[in-house]
Amino acid sequence: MIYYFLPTEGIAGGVKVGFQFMEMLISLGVRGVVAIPGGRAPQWFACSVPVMDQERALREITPQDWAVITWPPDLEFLADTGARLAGHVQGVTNMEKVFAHPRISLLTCWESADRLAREEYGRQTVRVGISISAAFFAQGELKLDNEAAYMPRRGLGIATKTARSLPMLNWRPLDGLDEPQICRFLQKTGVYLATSLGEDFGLPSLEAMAAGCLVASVPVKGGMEYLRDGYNCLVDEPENLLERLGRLMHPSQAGQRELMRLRARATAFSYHPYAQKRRLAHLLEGPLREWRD
Amino acid sequence: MTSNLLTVIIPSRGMLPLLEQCLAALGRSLEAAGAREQSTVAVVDNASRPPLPPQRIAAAGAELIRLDAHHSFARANNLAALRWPAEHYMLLNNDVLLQPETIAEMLALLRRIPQAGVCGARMVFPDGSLQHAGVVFGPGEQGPYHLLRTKPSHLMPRLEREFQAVTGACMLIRGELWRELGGLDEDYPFGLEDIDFCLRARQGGWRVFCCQGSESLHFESLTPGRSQLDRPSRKLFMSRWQGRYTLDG
Repeated sequence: MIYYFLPTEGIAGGVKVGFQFMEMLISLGVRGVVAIPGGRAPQWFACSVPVMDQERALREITPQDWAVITWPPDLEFLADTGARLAGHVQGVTNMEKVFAHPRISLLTCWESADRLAREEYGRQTVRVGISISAAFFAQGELKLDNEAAYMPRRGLGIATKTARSLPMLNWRPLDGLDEPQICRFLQKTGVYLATSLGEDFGLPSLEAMAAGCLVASVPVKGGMEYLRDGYNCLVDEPENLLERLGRLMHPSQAGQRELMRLRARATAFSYHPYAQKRRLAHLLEGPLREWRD
Repeated sequence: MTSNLLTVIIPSRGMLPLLEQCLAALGRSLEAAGAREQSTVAVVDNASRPPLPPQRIAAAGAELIRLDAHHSFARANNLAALRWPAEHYMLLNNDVLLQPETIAEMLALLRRIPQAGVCGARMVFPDGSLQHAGVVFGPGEQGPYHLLRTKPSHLMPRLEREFQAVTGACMLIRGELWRELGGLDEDYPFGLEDIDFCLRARQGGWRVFCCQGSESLHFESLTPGRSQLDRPSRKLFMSRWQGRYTLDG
């Protein structure tokens, strides 16, 4: 049995990634449950993974079971359970103790985490990959070229400055929305501005790419394996990004914008749930075979 | 481990003519599955007035437990399961007429998928619209509901798929799981104990499926007094589970 521990059911990319990961494993025949304090299930995206109270999980877990950690502080109490440990490495920030723990198997989402584990900690990893919800993928909706979106939680200053400098775009913040609302919005939106400098995670940009948006992003840590500057998106320091985006939004560049959107969608298909599920099915025949009962 | 492959449990409060039709259809389905000889059919007479006649039940090839006082649906099922232990239990409503191939299909699924603990079956109303093809969960007060209910069945998908829950009107359960969970929760007066059971099963790592290959007939909610018992059951269910199940897309 796999117990995937999460600290909260609230709106956070790591929560959704954890649930998607477990949903795929369960559909592939792995017995699993997500353990959350209070047993609360997230209500902001669709999935069908069972949830149980963390306290109960800690009572029931045995040395034969696997405890999956994704939130580094959880390692402190999970290491004492005697269960087999796996770290689902979604980002690289604050993961030092997880990388260094001798008893933990490392499952990585991104190439950057693979590299860090290998080069700095001498650890072998299992690359389980990452995916975004299938709901984001554009179905051919009409794109509104002058609609632009951003998430104001991080980098609001950058977003505000960009919006003021590019008044020909209708700027809308994406905040407090659940996943279906964000999907509907992104699928109609022409431009997505990613303003979270040094973002460890990077999924919102990928979701916007799947929805066919032109992504303009500040430099990030996570996600650099799919963001290819000038090919399927723009990546630059905030001041340069503003200028480049302004140039790209000129009417004469409509063809270039459309080309980048198509390339972005094509890139995002590598992160479709089907792709990750195929990868996991393969891993369950190999390095993760013990995860099957 | 017991030598009884399957115990089919049918609680009934009156409604003898419909029960006899149900038993006849069940017999054909057990026959088609090659499971007739290894199965026990148990009718739980849940305080019918007048009592169900034992000779008519025996003539239909079923065992009978008589409860003089009315008990919850969960209690009625648990009593029969305790009396006739089996490798599998099938909970069946007395207003369900099984298709001949239904039980074979459900047993095959549990044999094929070792983690499958519960299997439901696609059912239609007499007008051909869908009664049950799996249970999904909506936000807030919506809670659990039947997927595609009342839609024309012949136009709806038939892909066998996994659910968080299926209805106990026709539910096949692995005996190991039944014993692990101690059967249905008897706190529920009538209704949603089946959904509660499925959610608890999934917390233990079991999977829940709904077979879509055959269509049995379900009249639904014909039991007298059912609607008065629904409300407290729903209240109990929501107090225990609301916010603790994930929402289906």
